[in-house]
Amino acid sequence: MGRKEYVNISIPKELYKNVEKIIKGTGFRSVTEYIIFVTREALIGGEEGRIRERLRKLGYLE
Amino acid sequence: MSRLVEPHGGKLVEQTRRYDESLEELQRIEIDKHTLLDLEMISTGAYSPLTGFLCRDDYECVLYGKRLSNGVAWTIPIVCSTNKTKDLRPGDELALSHGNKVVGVLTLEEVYPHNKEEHARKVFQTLDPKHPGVARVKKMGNHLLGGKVEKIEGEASTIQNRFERRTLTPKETRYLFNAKGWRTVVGFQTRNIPHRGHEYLQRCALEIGDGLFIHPIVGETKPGDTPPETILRCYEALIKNYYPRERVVLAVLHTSMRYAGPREAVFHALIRKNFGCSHFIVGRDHAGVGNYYGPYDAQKIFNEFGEGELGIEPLFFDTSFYCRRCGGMATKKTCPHTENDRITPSGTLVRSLLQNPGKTGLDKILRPEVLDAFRGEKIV
Repeated sequence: MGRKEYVNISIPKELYKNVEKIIKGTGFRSVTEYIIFVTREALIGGEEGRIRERLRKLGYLE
Repeated sequence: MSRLVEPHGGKLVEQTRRYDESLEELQRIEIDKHTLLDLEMISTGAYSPLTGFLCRDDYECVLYGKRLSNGVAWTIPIVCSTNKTKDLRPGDELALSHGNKVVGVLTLEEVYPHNKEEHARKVFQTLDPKHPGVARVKKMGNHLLGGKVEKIEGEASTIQNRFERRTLTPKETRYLFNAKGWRTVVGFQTRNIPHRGHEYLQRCALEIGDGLFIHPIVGETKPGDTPPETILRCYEALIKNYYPRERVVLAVLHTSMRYAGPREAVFHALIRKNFGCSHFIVGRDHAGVGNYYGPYDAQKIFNEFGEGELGIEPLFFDTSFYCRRCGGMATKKTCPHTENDRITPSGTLVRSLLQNPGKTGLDKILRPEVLDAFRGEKIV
Protein backbone atom coordinates (compact mmCIF):
# COMPACT_ATOMS: atom_id res chain seq x y z
CA MET A 1 0.00 0.00 0.00
CA GLY A 2 1.35 3.46 -0.89
CA ARG A 3 2.23 6.05 1.69
CA LYS A 4 -0.64 8.41 2.55
CA GLU A 5 -0.28 12.04 1.59
CA TYR A 6 -1.11 14.77 4.10
CA VAL A 7 -1.89 18.48 3.89
CA ASN A 8 -1.75 21.14 6.60
CA ILE A 9 -4.90 22.81 7.80
CA SER A 10 -5.29 25.55 10.38
CA ILE A 11 -7.58 25.60 13.38
CA PRO A 12 -7.87 28.27 16.10
CA LYS A 13 -5.14 27.92 18.75
CA GLU A 14 -7.68 27.88 21.56
CA LEU A 15 -9.50 24.96 19.96
CA TYR A 16 -6.20 23.15 19.55
CA LYS A 17 -5.43 23.56 23.27
CA ASN A 18 -8.89 22.35 24.23
CA VAL A 19 -8.47 19.24 22.09
CA GLU A 20 -5.08 18.62 23.70
CA LYS A 21 -6.80 18.60 27.10
CA ILE A 22 -9.59 16.33 25.89
CA ILE A 23 -7.28 13.66 24.49
CA LYS A 24 -5.05 13.43 27.56
CA GLY A 25 -5.23 9.90 28.90
CA THR A 26 -7.05 8.59 25.82
CA GLY A 27 -5.76 6.43 23.02
CA PHE A 28 -5.28 9.42 20.73
CA ARG A 29 -1.60 10.20 20.37
CA SER A 30 -2.00 13.66 18.90
CA VAL A 31 -4.49 16.40 18.11
CA THR A 32 -4.10 15.53 14.43
CA GLU A 33 -5.07 11.92 15.08
CA TYR A 34 -8.14 13.03 17.01
CA ILE A 35 -9.22 15.55 14.38
CA ILE A 36 -8.86 12.94 11.64
CA PHE A 37 -11.00 10.51 13.67
CA VAL A 38 -13.72 13.05 14.40
CA THR A 39 -13.81 14.28 10.81
CA ARG A 40 -14.09 10.75 9.44
CA GLU A 41 -16.89 9.95 11.89
CA ALA A 42 -18.73 13.09 10.91
CA LEU A 43 -18.42 12.31 7.21
CA ILE A 44 -19.59 8.72 7.56
CA GLY A 45 -22.35 9.53 10.02
CA GLY A 46 -23.49 12.50 7.98
CA GLU A 47 -23.71 10.61 4.74
CA GLU A 48 -25.36 7.54 6.23
CA GLY A 49 -27.82 9.77 8.01
CA ARG A 50 -28.71 11.50 4.76
CA ILE A 51 -29.19 8.19 2.96
CA ARG A 52 -31.33 6.79 5.78
CA GLU A 53 -33.46 9.93 5.84
CA ARG A 54 -33.99 9.92 2.07
CA LEU A 55 -34.93 6.23 2.05
CA ARG A 56 -37.36 6.87 4.86
CA LYS A 57 -38.92 9.82 3.08
CA LEU A 58 -39.37 7.81 -0.08
CA GLY A 59 -41.01 5.00 1.88
CA TYR A 60 -38.27 2.41 1.39
CA LEU A 61 -37.50 2.29 5.12
CA GLU A 62 -39.77 2.50 8.15
CA MET B 1 -20.12 -4.15 7.70
CA SER B 2 -21.68 -4.96 4.34
CA ARG B 3 -22.42 -8.55 3.49
CA LEU B 4 -23.30 -7.67 -0.09
CA VAL B 5 -21.18 -8.36 -3.16
CA GLU B 6 -18.40 -5.86 -3.78
CA PRO B 7 -18.92 -3.27 -6.50
CA HIS B 8 -17.40 -4.16 -9.86
CA GLY B 9 -13.69 -3.43 -9.78
CA GLY B 10 -13.77 -3.39 -5.95
CA LYS B 11 -14.84 0.18 -5.26
CA LEU B 12 -17.94 2.27 -5.84
CA VAL B 13 -16.99 5.27 -7.92
CA GLU B 14 -18.43 8.68 -7.03
CA GLN B 15 -17.59 11.59 -9.25
CA THR B 16 -19.35 14.85 -8.54
CA ARG B 17 -18.31 18.40 -8.05
CA ARG B 18 -19.93 21.63 -7.02
CA TYR B 19 -20.98 24.20 -9.55
CA ASP B 20 -18.99 27.38 -9.62
CA GLU B 21 -19.08 30.25 -12.06
CA SER B 22 -15.62 29.52 -13.43
CA LEU B 23 -17.12 26.50 -15.21
CA GLU B 24 -18.89 28.91 -17.55
CA GLU B 25 -15.48 29.98 -18.85
CA LEU B 26 -14.51 26.45 -19.93
CA GLN B 27 -14.77 25.29 -23.50
CA ARG B 28 -18.14 23.58 -23.92
CA ILE B 29 -19.11 20.27 -25.39
CA GLU B 30 -22.84 19.78 -25.83
CA ILE B 31 -23.91 16.23 -24.99
CA ASP B 32 -27.14 14.47 -25.92
CA LYS B 33 -29.51 12.86 -23.45
CA HIS B 34 -28.01 9.40 -23.91
CA THR B 35 -24.55 10.71 -22.95
CA LEU B 36 -26.01 12.76 -20.11
CA LEU B 37 -27.53 9.61 -18.65
CA ASP B 38 -24.17 7.87 -18.96
CA LEU B 39 -22.54 10.79 -17.16
CA GLU B 40 -25.06 10.37 -14.35
CA MET B 41 -24.45 6.65 -14.15
CA ILE B 42 -20.68 7.16 -13.96
CA SER B 43 -21.04 9.83 -11.30
CA THR B 44 -23.18 7.68 -9.00
CA GLY B 45 -21.05 4.56 -9.39
CA ALA B 46 -23.59 2.55 -11.39
CA TYR B 47 -20.86 2.04 -14.00
CA SER B 48 -18.06 1.34 -11.50
CA PRO B 49 -15.17 0.95 -12.11
CA LEU B 50 -15.50 3.54 -14.91
CA THR B 51 -14.46 7.00 -13.81
CA GLY B 52 -15.09 8.64 -17.16
CA PHE B 53 -15.62 8.20 -20.86
CA LEU B 54 -13.36 5.54 -22.32
CA CYS B 55 -9.96 6.41 -23.74
CA ARG B 56 -8.81 4.61 -26.87
CA ASP B 57 -7.02 1.73 -25.18
CA ASP B 58 -10.00 0.85 -23.01
CA TYR B 59 -12.41 1.44 -25.89
CA GLU B 60 -10.60 -0.99 -28.16
CA CYS B 61 -10.20 -3.57 -25.40
CA VAL B 62 -13.95 -3.41 -24.75
CA LEU B 63 -14.76 -3.62 -28.44
CA TYR B 64 -12.47 -6.55 -29.21
CA GLY B 65 -12.06 -8.29 -25.86
CA LYS B 66 -15.16 -7.37 -23.79
CA ARG B 67 -12.82 -6.19 -21.07
CA LEU B 68 -11.14 -2.93 -20.04
CA SER B 69 -7.40 -2.56 -20.65
CA ASN B 70 -6.75 -3.68 -17.05
CA GLY B 71 -8.61 -6.92 -17.73
CA VAL B 72 -11.80 -6.09 -15.82
CA ALA B 73 -14.89 -7.35 -17.65
CA TRP B 74 -16.84 -4.64 -19.49
CA THR B 75 -18.89 -5.12 -22.63
CA ILE B 76 -20.42 -1.81 -23.71
CA PRO B 77 -18.24 1.14 -24.74
CA ILE B 78 -19.24 4.19 -22.72
CA VAL B 79 -18.12 7.10 -24.84
CA CYS B 80 -18.56 10.79 -25.49
CA SER B 81 -18.54 11.77 -29.15
CA THR B 82 -18.13 15.11 -30.86
CA ASN B 83 -17.38 16.69 -34.19
CA LYS B 84 -15.80 19.69 -32.54
CA THR B 85 -12.12 18.96 -31.91
CA LYS B 86 -10.51 22.31 -32.69
CA ASP B 87 -8.38 23.63 -29.83
CA LEU B 88 -8.91 20.54 -27.67
CA ARG B 89 -5.77 19.54 -25.79
CA PRO B 90 -5.19 16.69 -23.35
CA GLY B 91 -5.32 18.04 -19.80
CA ASP B 92 -8.05 20.58 -20.63
CA GLU B 93 -11.12 20.72 -18.49
CA LEU B 94 -14.19 20.80 -20.72
CA ALA B 95 -17.67 21.80 -19.59
CA LEU B 96 -20.20 19.19 -20.67
CA SER B 97 -23.49 20.92 -21.32
CA HIS B 98 -26.99 19.70 -22.02
CA GLY B 99 -29.69 22.14 -23.04
CA ASN B 100 -27.13 24.91 -22.65
CA LYS B 101 -26.61 24.10 -18.98
CA VAL B 102 -23.31 22.88 -17.59
CA VAL B 103 -23.96 19.39 -16.25
CA GLY B 104 -20.47 18.01 -15.88
CA VAL B 105 -16.75 18.43 -16.38
CA LEU B 106 -14.56 16.24 -18.54
CA THR B 107 -10.83 16.28 -17.88
CA LEU B 108 -9.68 15.47 -21.36
CA GLU B 109 -7.10 12.73 -21.69
CA GLU B 110 -7.47 11.83 -25.33
CA VAL B 111 -9.27 12.67 -28.56
CA TYR B 112 -9.42 9.82 -31.04
CA PRO B 113 -11.24 8.96 -34.23
CA HIS B 114 -14.53 7.13 -33.94
CA ASN B 115 -14.69 4.16 -36.27
CA LYS B 116 -18.47 3.93 -36.29
CA GLU B 117 -18.67 0.91 -38.55
CA GLU B 118 -16.39 -1.12 -36.31
CA HIS B 119 -18.23 0.12 -33.23
CA ALA B 120 -21.58 -1.05 -34.65
CA ARG B 121 -20.23 -4.32 -36.01
CA LYS B 122 -18.64 -5.36 -32.72
CA VAL B 123 -21.34 -4.15 -30.33
CA PHE B 124 -24.50 -4.89 -32.33
CA GLN B 125 -23.19 -7.59 -34.68
CA THR B 126 -24.82 -5.82 -37.61
CA LEU B 127 -24.49 -2.74 -39.77
CA ASP B 128 -28.19 -2.62 -40.53
CA PRO B 129 -29.31 1.00 -40.07
CA LYS B 130 -32.72 -0.27 -38.97
CA HIS B 131 -31.13 -1.55 -35.77
CA PRO B 132 -31.74 1.27 -33.23
CA GLY B 133 -28.23 0.94 -31.78
CA VAL B 134 -26.60 1.11 -35.20
CA ALA B 135 -28.78 4.08 -36.13
CA ARG B 136 -27.61 5.90 -33.03
CA VAL B 137 -23.94 5.16 -33.61
CA LYS B 138 -24.27 6.50 -37.16
CA LYS B 139 -25.58 9.79 -35.77
CA MET B 140 -22.74 10.14 -33.26
CA GLY B 141 -19.76 12.43 -33.72
CA ASN B 142 -16.67 11.43 -35.68
CA HIS B 143 -14.34 11.74 -32.70
CA LEU B 144 -14.42 10.36 -29.18
CA LEU B 145 -13.31 12.23 -26.08
CA GLY B 146 -11.79 10.15 -23.32
CA GLY B 147 -11.14 11.19 -19.75
CA LYS B 148 -12.38 11.41 -16.20
CA VAL B 149 -15.78 13.06 -15.68
CA GLU B 150 -17.51 14.70 -12.77
CA LYS B 151 -21.18 15.51 -12.71
CA ILE B 152 -22.27 18.83 -11.29
CA GLU B 153 -24.09 18.19 -8.03
CA GLY B 154 -27.82 18.63 -8.28
CA GLU B 155 -27.84 18.96 -12.07
CA ALA B 156 -30.02 15.99 -12.87
CA SER B 157 -31.57 15.22 -16.20
CA THR B 158 -35.25 15.91 -16.69
CA ILE B 159 -36.06 12.22 -16.67
CA GLN B 160 -34.41 11.79 -13.29
CA ASN B 161 -36.66 14.46 -11.84
CA ARG B 162 -39.72 12.72 -13.28
CA PHE B 163 -38.86 9.59 -11.33
CA GLU B 164 -37.24 11.04 -8.26
CA ARG B 165 -39.51 9.01 -5.99
CA ARG B 166 -38.12 5.82 -7.50
CA THR B 167 -34.54 6.89 -8.13
CA LEU B 168 -31.92 5.30 -5.94
CA THR B 169 -28.15 5.42 -6.30
CA PRO B 170 -26.01 2.30 -5.83
CA LYS B 171 -24.93 3.67 -2.48
CA GLU B 172 -28.56 4.00 -1.42
CA THR B 173 -29.63 0.53 -2.57
CA ARG B 174 -26.60 -0.96 -0.85
CA TYR B 175 -27.57 0.83 2.36
CA LEU B 176 -31.17 -0.34 1.94
CA PHE B 177 -30.30 -3.99 1.24
CA ASN B 178 -27.97 -3.99 4.23
CA ALA B 179 -30.64 -2.43 6.43
CA LYS B 180 -32.99 -5.21 5.36
CA GLY B 181 -30.35 -7.77 6.28
CA TRP B 182 -30.10 -9.09 2.72
CA ARG B 183 -27.01 -10.85 1.55
CA THR B 184 -28.22 -12.30 -1.74
CA VAL B 185 -30.23 -10.02 -3.97
CA VAL B 186 -31.60 -10.95 -7.38
CA GLY B 187 -31.69 -8.14 -9.94
CA PHE B 188 -34.44 -8.02 -12.54
CA GLN B 189 -34.11 -5.79 -15.57
CA THR B 190 -37.25 -4.82 -17.44
CA ARG B 191 -38.76 -2.45 -19.98
CA ASN B 192 -42.20 -4.02 -20.08
CA ILE B 193 -45.27 -4.21 -17.92
CA PRO B 194 -45.21 -7.35 -15.79
CA HIS B 195 -47.11 -10.32 -17.16
CA ARG B 196 -47.39 -13.71 -15.51
CA GLY B 197 -44.21 -14.88 -17.26
CA HIS B 198 -42.20 -12.18 -15.51
CA GLU B 199 -43.97 -12.94 -12.28
CA TYR B 200 -42.97 -16.59 -12.56
CA LEU B 201 -39.29 -15.66 -12.92
CA GLN B 202 -39.52 -13.20 -10.05
CA ARG B 203 -41.12 -15.76 -7.77
CA CYS B 204 -38.32 -18.19 -8.61
CA ALA B 205 -35.87 -15.40 -7.74
CA LEU B 206 -37.59 -14.88 -4.39
CA GLU B 207 -37.07 -18.58 -3.68
CA ILE B 208 -33.36 -18.19 -4.34
CA GLY B 209 -32.37 -14.83 -2.87
CA ASP B 210 -33.01 -12.85 0.29
CA GLY B 211 -34.51 -10.07 -1.79
CA LEU B 212 -35.65 -9.11 -5.27
CA PHE B 213 -34.60 -5.85 -6.89
CA ILE B 214 -36.90 -4.88 -9.76
CA HIS B 215 -35.09 -2.27 -11.77
CA PRO B 216 -36.87 -1.04 -14.90
CA ILE B 217 -34.99 1.13 -17.37
CA VAL B 218 -36.36 4.64 -17.82
CA GLY B 219 -33.72 6.13 -20.10
CA GLU B 220 -34.17 6.53 -23.82
CA THR B 221 -36.03 3.67 -25.39
CA LYS B 222 -37.30 3.08 -28.90
CA PRO B 223 -40.67 4.10 -30.33
CA GLY B 224 -43.24 1.51 -29.39
CA ASP B 225 -41.79 0.76 -25.96
CA THR B 226 -44.18 1.09 -23.04
CA PRO B 227 -43.92 4.44 -21.20
CA PRO B 228 -41.92 3.96 -17.98
CA GLU B 229 -44.67 5.57 -15.88
CA THR B 230 -47.02 2.76 -16.96
CA ILE B 231 -44.43 0.11 -16.20
CA LEU B 232 -43.90 1.53 -12.72
CA ARG B 233 -47.61 1.76 -12.00
CA CYS B 234 -48.14 -1.84 -13.09
CA TYR B 235 -45.26 -3.06 -10.93
CA GLU B 236 -46.55 -1.13 -7.94
CA ALA B 237 -49.90 -2.90 -8.39
CA LEU B 238 -48.23 -6.30 -8.71
CA ILE B 239 -46.06 -5.82 -5.63
CA LYS B 240 -48.90 -4.45 -3.55
CA ASN B 241 -51.23 -7.34 -4.34
CA TYR B 242 -49.02 -10.36 -4.89
CA TYR B 243 -45.53 -10.04 -3.43
CA PRO B 244 -44.17 -10.01 0.12
CA ARG B 245 -43.47 -6.28 0.09
CA GLU B 246 -40.61 -6.40 2.56
CA ARG B 247 -38.69 -8.66 0.21
CA VAL B 248 -38.99 -6.56 -2.94
CA VAL B 249 -37.44 -3.22 -3.87
CA LEU B 250 -38.62 -1.31 -6.93
CA ALA B 251 -36.47 1.50 -8.33
CA VAL B 252 -35.63 2.82 -11.78
CA LEU B 253 -32.41 2.79 -13.77
CA HIS B 254 -31.57 5.94 -15.70
CA THR B 255 -29.75 4.62 -18.69
CA SER B 256 -30.69 4.14 -22.29
CA MET B 257 -31.37 0.82 -23.91
CA ARG B 258 -28.67 -0.05 -26.44
CA TYR B 259 -30.42 -3.13 -27.86
CA ALA B 260 -27.01 -4.79 -27.89
CA GLY B 261 -28.46 -8.17 -26.86
CA PRO B 262 -25.73 -10.41 -25.38
CA ARG B 263 -23.24 -7.64 -24.63
CA GLU B 264 -25.96 -5.62 -22.97
CA ALA B 265 -27.02 -8.59 -20.84
CA VAL B 266 -23.55 -8.64 -19.26
CA PHE B 267 -23.57 -4.85 -18.98
CA HIS B 268 -26.95 -4.95 -17.22
CA ALA B 269 -25.66 -7.61 -14.84
CA LEU B 270 -22.56 -5.58 -13.94
CA ILE B 271 -24.66 -2.48 -13.28
CA ARG B 272 -26.91 -4.45 -10.93
CA LYS B 273 -23.82 -5.81 -9.18
CA ASN B 274 -22.89 -2.21 -8.45
CA PHE B 275 -26.34 -1.70 -6.97
CA GLY B 276 -25.65 -4.63 -4.64
CA CYS B 277 -27.13 -7.61 -6.50
CA SER B 278 -25.51 -11.01 -6.22
CA HIS B 279 -27.67 -12.60 -8.94
CA PHE B 280 -29.19 -11.37 -12.17
CA ILE B 281 -32.00 -12.84 -14.25
CA VAL B 282 -31.26 -13.32 -17.92
CA GLY B 283 -34.25 -14.46 -19.92
CA ARG B 284 -34.69 -15.26 -23.55
CA ASP B 285 -33.38 -12.61 -25.99
CA HIS B 286 -32.38 -10.21 -23.23
CA ALA B 287 -31.98 -6.64 -24.58
CA GLY B 288 -32.68 -7.90 -28.05
CA VAL B 289 -34.54 -6.22 -30.87
CA GLY B 290 -35.89 -7.73 -34.08
CA ASN B 291 -34.06 -10.89 -35.07
CA TYR B 292 -30.51 -9.63 -34.75
CA TYR B 293 -29.51 -12.08 -32.02
CA GLY B 294 -30.18 -15.72 -31.35
CA PRO B 295 -32.78 -16.38 -28.64
CA TYR B 296 -30.16 -17.64 -26.17
CA ASP B 297 -27.14 -15.55 -27.20
CA ALA B 298 -27.61 -13.32 -24.16
CA GLN B 299 -27.16 -16.38 -21.96
CA LYS B 300 -24.32 -17.99 -23.93
CA ILE B 301 -22.12 -14.89 -23.69
CA PHE B 302 -21.66 -15.50 -19.96
CA ASN B 303 -19.57 -18.56 -20.90
CA GLU B 304 -16.94 -16.17 -22.28
CA PHE B 305 -16.08 -15.11 -18.73
CA GLY B 306 -14.18 -17.15 -16.21
CA GLU B 307 -15.58 -18.51 -12.98
CA GLY B 308 -16.21 -15.57 -10.65
CA GLU B 309 -14.85 -13.06 -13.18
CA LEU B 310 -18.08 -11.09 -13.34
CA GLY B 311 -18.77 -11.31 -9.63
CA ILE B 312 -22.49 -11.70 -10.19
CA GLU B 313 -24.31 -14.94 -10.82
CA PRO B 314 -26.57 -15.01 -13.88
CA LEU B 315 -29.82 -16.94 -13.52
CA PHE B 316 -30.89 -18.25 -16.90
CA PHE B 317 -34.53 -18.82 -17.63
CA ASP B 318 -36.35 -20.18 -20.63
CA THR B 319 -39.60 -18.65 -21.83
CA SER B 320 -42.35 -19.28 -19.32
CA PHE B 321 -45.96 -19.91 -20.28
CA TYR B 322 -49.35 -20.68 -18.83
CA CYS B 323 -50.16 -24.37 -19.25
CA ARG B 324 -53.86 -25.19 -19.24
CA ARG B 325 -53.22 -28.75 -18.17
CA CYS B 326 -50.78 -27.85 -15.41
CA GLY B 327 -53.11 -25.05 -14.39
CA GLY B 328 -50.25 -22.63 -13.82
CA MET B 329 -47.06 -21.05 -15.11
CA ALA B 330 -44.22 -23.31 -16.20
CA THR B 331 -41.31 -23.63 -18.60
CA LYS B 332 -40.24 -26.43 -20.90
CA LYS B 333 -38.05 -27.62 -18.05
CA THR B 334 -41.01 -28.18 -15.77
CA CYS B 335 -43.97 -28.94 -18.07
CA PRO B 336 -44.36 -32.01 -20.33
CA HIS B 337 -47.45 -30.84 -22.25
CA THR B 338 -47.75 -29.63 -25.82
CA GLU B 339 -47.76 -26.20 -27.42
CA ASN B 340 -51.56 -26.45 -27.79
CA ASP B 341 -51.90 -26.45 -24.01
CA ARG B 342 -49.81 -23.33 -23.57
CA ILE B 343 -50.37 -19.59 -23.65
CA THR B 344 -47.02 -17.85 -23.85
CA PRO B 345 -47.13 -14.28 -22.53
CA SER B 346 -45.32 -11.67 -24.55
CA GLY B 347 -45.58 -7.94 -25.06
CA THR B 348 -47.09 -8.56 -28.48
CA LEU B 349 -49.72 -10.96 -27.13
CA VAL B 350 -50.60 -8.61 -24.29
CA ARG B 351 -51.10 -5.77 -26.78
CA SER B 352 -53.20 -7.93 -29.06
CA LEU B 353 -55.42 -9.11 -26.21
CA LEU B 354 -55.84 -5.60 -24.87
CA GLN B 355 -56.87 -4.35 -28.29
CA ASN B 356 -59.34 -7.21 -28.68
CA PRO B 357 -61.05 -7.56 -25.30
CA GLY B 358 -63.29 -10.33 -26.68
CA LYS B 359 -60.34 -12.69 -26.94
CA THR B 360 -59.87 -15.05 -24.06
CA GLY B 361 -56.65 -15.69 -22.21
CA LEU B 362 -55.87 -12.25 -20.89
CA ASP B 363 -56.62 -13.33 -17.32
CA LYS B 364 -54.09 -16.14 -17.71
CA ILE B 365 -51.23 -13.84 -18.58
CA LEU B 366 -52.01 -10.58 -16.77
CA ARG B 367 -53.10 -10.00 -13.18
CA PRO B 368 -56.36 -7.98 -13.03
CA GLU B 369 -54.72 -5.34 -10.80
CA VAL B 370 -51.92 -4.95 -13.33
CA LEU B 371 -54.50 -4.65 -16.09
CA ASP B 372 -56.31 -1.94 -14.12
CA ALA B 373 -53.05 -0.10 -13.64
CA PHE B 374 -52.35 -0.37 -17.35
CA ARG B 375 -55.79 0.75 -18.57
CA GLY B 376 -56.19 4.28 -19.72
CA GLU B 377 -52.78 4.21 -21.32
CA LYS B 378 -52.47 4.58 -25.03
CA ILE B 379 -51.28 1.35 -26.57
CA VAL B 380 -48.48 2.16 -28.99
